[in-house]
This record gives sequence, structure tokens and C-alpha cells, in this order.
Amino acid sequence: MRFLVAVSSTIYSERTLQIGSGIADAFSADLSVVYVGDPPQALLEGGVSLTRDAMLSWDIHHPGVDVLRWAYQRLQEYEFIDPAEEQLDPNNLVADAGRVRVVVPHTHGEKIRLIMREGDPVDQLKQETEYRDYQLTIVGGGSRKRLTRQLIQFIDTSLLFVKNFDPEGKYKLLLCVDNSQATRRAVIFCGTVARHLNTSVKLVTASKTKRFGDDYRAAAEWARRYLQRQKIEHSQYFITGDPATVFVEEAGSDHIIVMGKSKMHPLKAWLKGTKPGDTLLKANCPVILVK
Amino acid sequence: MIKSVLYWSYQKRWLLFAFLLGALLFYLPYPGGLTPEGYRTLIITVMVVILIISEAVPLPATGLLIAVLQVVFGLGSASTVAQSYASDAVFFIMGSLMLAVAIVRQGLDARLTLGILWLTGNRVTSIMWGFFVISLLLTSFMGEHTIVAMLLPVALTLVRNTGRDDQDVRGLMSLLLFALAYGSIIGSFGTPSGGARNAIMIEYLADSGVARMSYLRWIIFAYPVLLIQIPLGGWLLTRTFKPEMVYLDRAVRKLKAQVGRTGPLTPQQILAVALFVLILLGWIFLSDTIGIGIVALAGVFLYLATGLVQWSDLNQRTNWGVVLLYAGVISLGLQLRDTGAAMWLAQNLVQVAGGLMERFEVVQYMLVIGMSTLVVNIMSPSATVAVLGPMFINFGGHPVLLGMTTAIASAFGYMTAVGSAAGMIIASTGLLKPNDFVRAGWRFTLMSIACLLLAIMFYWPWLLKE
Repeated sequence: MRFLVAVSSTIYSERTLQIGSGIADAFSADLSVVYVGDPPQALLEGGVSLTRDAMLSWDIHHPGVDVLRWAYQRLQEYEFIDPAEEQLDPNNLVADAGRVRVVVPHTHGEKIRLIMREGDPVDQLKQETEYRDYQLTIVGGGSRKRLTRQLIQFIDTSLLFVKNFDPEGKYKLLLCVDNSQATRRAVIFCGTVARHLNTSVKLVTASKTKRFGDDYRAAAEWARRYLQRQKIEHSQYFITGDPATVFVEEAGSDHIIVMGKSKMHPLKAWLKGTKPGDTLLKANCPVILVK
Repeated sequence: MIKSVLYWSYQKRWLLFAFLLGALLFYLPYPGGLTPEGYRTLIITVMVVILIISEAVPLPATGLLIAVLQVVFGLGSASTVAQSYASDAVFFIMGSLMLAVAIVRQGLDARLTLGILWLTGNRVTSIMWGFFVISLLLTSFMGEHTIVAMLLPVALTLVRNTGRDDQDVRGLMSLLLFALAYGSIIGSFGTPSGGARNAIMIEYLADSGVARMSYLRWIIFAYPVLLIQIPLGGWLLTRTFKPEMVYLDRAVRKLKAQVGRTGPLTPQQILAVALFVLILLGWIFLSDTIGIGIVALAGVFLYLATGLVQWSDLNQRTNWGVVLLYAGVISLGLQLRDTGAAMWLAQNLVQVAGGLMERFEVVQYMLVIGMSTLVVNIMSPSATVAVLGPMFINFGGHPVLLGMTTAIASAFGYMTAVGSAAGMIIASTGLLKPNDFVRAGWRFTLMSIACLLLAIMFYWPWLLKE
């Protein structure tokens, strides 16, 4: 498996990287760290690239290289890669397919990749996920409405939004179960994460009316049996109310919400927004959206 | 499929908006007092401004679109439009971009550093003054990006030599970076070669038959406005950013040692400086007869002929797309003038001002300054002059003063990173926050506007009487 974690700066991306490496570890996945920076305005781009060339002779690198070097050191600290491994050479860069890759020493080339891109974040992440076959994209934030909706709509991999993550906290999982096709994948994904984190799962099925349809009940039953077979501690709830509000209230700040992607038509989802999108915007905890 | 279409539409929303708006305007009735050609030129201008600001398509594509639309809208034949794409201002933009590469490649940054440190010593405020004044003076002749490209690595190395984390020396970092950027911005209007917008304005004034601004005459008009801002600007910087330390003993010592390793000036470097002095003399004494752009191109030829720079280097590092875009925008500016659209816009603005501009002459200059300052903080200086210049020199006041005001006020891009090449370069380090620009920028904007108004009211009228 291959996971992609997006970082933007050494200040704001630490938690994203920490949880990203943990999840990648759980799935024994390769991890690509991508830095997406703001591009210089095209009219003034020439001056910027001239300056960046001049700065190299003073051993000053592109800010993205510094962030990726920091990410590499952090991954060593988290022991995602061997801490004894040698440091990165910031001048060892390879440009391909509109992106720049910092070459990782020795054998870690496959386990981690460090990539630098510039441009619109959604567009760059979409290009990266289309360039290599990733299963999960891990991003920070989740509170900027437009960006969040675009990521949910246009990135084809599963998504983990690292929102209000406390590295010291003990997280449980809240699995949202409904009749969408992606629910089964969400259940399996949730099971793997629960085993790795050695934590319990709270199965929540929410309906706007008091009546829960047969398809909802069937999906919930399938999820319960799956977790039981996997010997994962779990509890199950059927709650009436607005689904997004129910999930957020039940999750509080000590759960990671796991949910499948919406089954809504893309145009309707674009105009109205989706249940996962609403949940993510309201949530006070990390959210995994499984596609 | 639907998802792909949605995604494309979202990514290209400004392109779609520009074309839809263009189509809508095309089918609306023409406003009175404006020729059909003038109206179509305005439509193209609106579309081009949207595309430049949004960057919905690569800039060279916008440059190409201008030519296509001018011919399709019947504003000129293919040959006429092609001719309007080549002018001395375009030659100057092309030449100055290549000269910047040629000069930066000579490794003169180390010499410049030693010179600055020799003048300033180790005190932080003295170093700040050194960066501010040197960048201001040099930029007035060479262009912002050349000087910032050479001095920014020095400033950053100095900060890093303190051995502290970037976050712990934010005050020092901001002080030095903004001294460099704002010094360059102020310097950029000092001479015609300080920025492409100055060359564009000279071209507009000459083409309109208003006046031929020689290199020296421009300096006489603009340099006092620049000099008066040296003490004020330096003072404002010290008031805005508080460095975490008073002296940089260790950092300066380390920097001197680093620079010292490069050895004495090489013959190539001496030749590079000599050639630049030659180009400068050419600008001063020959630009009036052969054109500022031709002098710049001659300079590039000399750098290539002497082997100081390789063509492959120039070819790789010169942003040809920008040349194409500016060629298009200048051509559009000339169309605005020739079709009467610029005059129509100017007259309507005068009417909106409701007689104030006729009663108080200074109001028209304030309007020019205000609009130029606003637009430059969104669109970049040269594009601002290229689009607004033809309108402003038709405002009814003295065209030379209005032209100079437009060119100088188009340098006041202090508030955003996109307002100037220097601002964009320091922002690209990733070490500053957008509100740093606002924090220092509003003070510099007010200072520069006040200095320019003083020149308009007292100094320039006196010059015109001479």
C-alpha cells in the first residue's frame, strides 16, 4: 500500500506527519511526504527563480526542501525509518512530471518518498495521487470549507484529515455506518486501524427519522459481525438526528471518525455538500474518509 | 466524467468567467461617445486583466490571446498587430531580463557584501541602513530582481549565522528582508532602467507625441522623490520591526570569513562591472537617440560576445513568457489610445469626480496615485502602467506629470507580495507572513504618496518652468 502525507511547514505539519506515519506503520504502507508550496506570481516568477539559483551557492535551499528535510528527521525520530540512517543531501534533487523529488539515501527510497510541488493545493495533490497509485492521502486542517469540499470531491484516494489531533491522547474509533457502498471498505479500514491502535470501536448509525431502513440495519449488522470476527472490542448505537451532528457529538474530541464516501451524485454533492463534508467541518477530532 | 468536467470547470472558472463576460459585453449596446473599436478594445482589456490576475491560463497564453482577439475583433490586420508587439519598451524588458541573469551569474554578491559590511560594521541598525540604501541606489539603475537576487542570500546567511532558530529572530529577519525589498521598490522608479514600467511610460509618452523623456530628464524628475524617502524609509523600518539583538558580531565575522574564501576580484568580474558601467553610460547618453531597449540589447550582446554568460544560461533562465505577455499588453495599451477608449475612460472618470478635478488640480493626481497604488498591489507594476498609463495621460492635466505620477505610483506595491518583484522574492523564502507586508506596507504607502504629492505640487511645476 502507498500513503501520501501532505505537509506545508515545520510549525503546522508535525501532527499530520506523526499520525500519518503511525497509520502507515499500521498498514505496513510506503509513505510519500509531499510539500505543496505557494507558487510565485507568474509575472514575477523569473526573479524568484533567479534568486533561488543564487541562493544555492550560499547553501540556502528552497523552503520546501527545508520542510522535507525536517520531515525526514521527524520520521527518524518516530522510528518509521532507521534513526541511524544518514541525513538527506538537500542538493540531491530529481525533477520529474512537474514535481521535484528529494532523493532519499540508500534503501529507504521505496519506503518513503519526499516530493516537492508548487501550486494550488487541491490540483497538486490530485496530480500527485494520479501520478502514483496511493490508497490514502493524509492532510492537516479540515476547517477551511472550500478547500475541504474540494479535497473530498476531487481526490480519488481515501482521505485522513488530521484535525485537533492530540499526540498524547488515547483515541477510540467512531465508525459511521449507513447504506453507502463505501461503508464496507470503511469497516475493514477501521478494523485494521483499531487492531494497530489496540482500541475499541463505536459503531454509530444515524437517521434523520425514527425509522431505520432495512439497508441501514443490514449494513450495521454486517459491520458488527465483521468487528466481532476480528475480535475487536465494539459497541453499537442507532441514533435519530442530523447524521453530521450526531457523529460529531458522539465523537467528541477523543475519537477518530471513520466514514465511507458519500453515494451522492457528483453534481448534487458539488452544489449541496455531503454528509462526510459536513461532519468534517463540524468535527473536533481527526476524520478518515474511506473511498 | 461529470466529476472531471466539474473539476476542470472549477480550475478554469476565471477563464470561463472572462470569456462569458467578454461575450456578454460584446452583445450589449455600445456606450455613447465610444467607437465600436474602442469598446471592443475595452472588452479585451477587461478579459486580459481578469486572466493576468487570476492566472487561469499561463501568461504567455494571455499574450497570444491579445493578438488573436485584436485581429478577430477587427482592431487591426495581422501585420499591424504583429508590428505593435515589437517596441523599444519590449526590447528593454527582454534586455533587462537577460542582463539580470548575466549580472547575477558573475558572483558579485560576495563583493557587494564586503562593501556593505565595510560601510556598516556590526550594528544591526547600521546593517539595515546599509541594505536599504545600497539596494535603493543600485536598483534605480539595474532593476529590482537583479539586486534582490544578489543581496537576499547575504541577508539570509547573516540571519542564519546568528545560530538561532528562524522563529527566534523574526524581528531581525523581517527588518533585513524588508530593508532590501522596500529599498529596491523605492529605487525602482529612480531611472528609466530601474523598472520595465518606466520604459513603458516613456514609450507611451513618446508615441502619443506628448514628450520625449530622456534618461537624464527622468532622473531629474524622479530622483529627488527617491532621495527624500531614504531617511524616512529607514526610520519607518526601525519603527516597524524590532530586531532581537543590537550587534551581529559573530554572524558578521562568519559571513566575512565565508566571503573572504572567494578570493580577490577576478578579471571576468572586473569586465562584468566595466560592461555594466558602459551600458549605464549608453542609457544616459544614447537612449534618447537609439532607445533604452536597444542599449539593453547591446549590453546583452557584449556579455555574450565576451563569454561572460552563455546563451544556454540566458535561454534557460529568462522568462520569455513575460516578454510575450508584456508585448501583448503594450500593444493593447496602444490600441486603447488609438481607438479613443483611453480618452473615453479618462473623461468618464473626470465626470465621476464631479468637477473636483477641474477645481483642484491635485485631485486628479491623487486619483492617479490612488488607482495605481490599488492596482499594483493586485497586478504587478509593469502591467499596471501598461493598462492604466494610456488612460491617465489623457486626464487633462500635464501629460508628462501624469505619466510620471502613474509610473512612480505603480511602484507603491508595498502591501502585498504580488505588488513588486522584490516583495515576491522575499515572500518566496517562506519566512514571512502576509500580514508582515501589511504591517510595514501601509506606512511606506503613506510615506511614498506624501513624498510624491510634494513633488507634484512644488518640485515638478518648478522644473516645467525652467
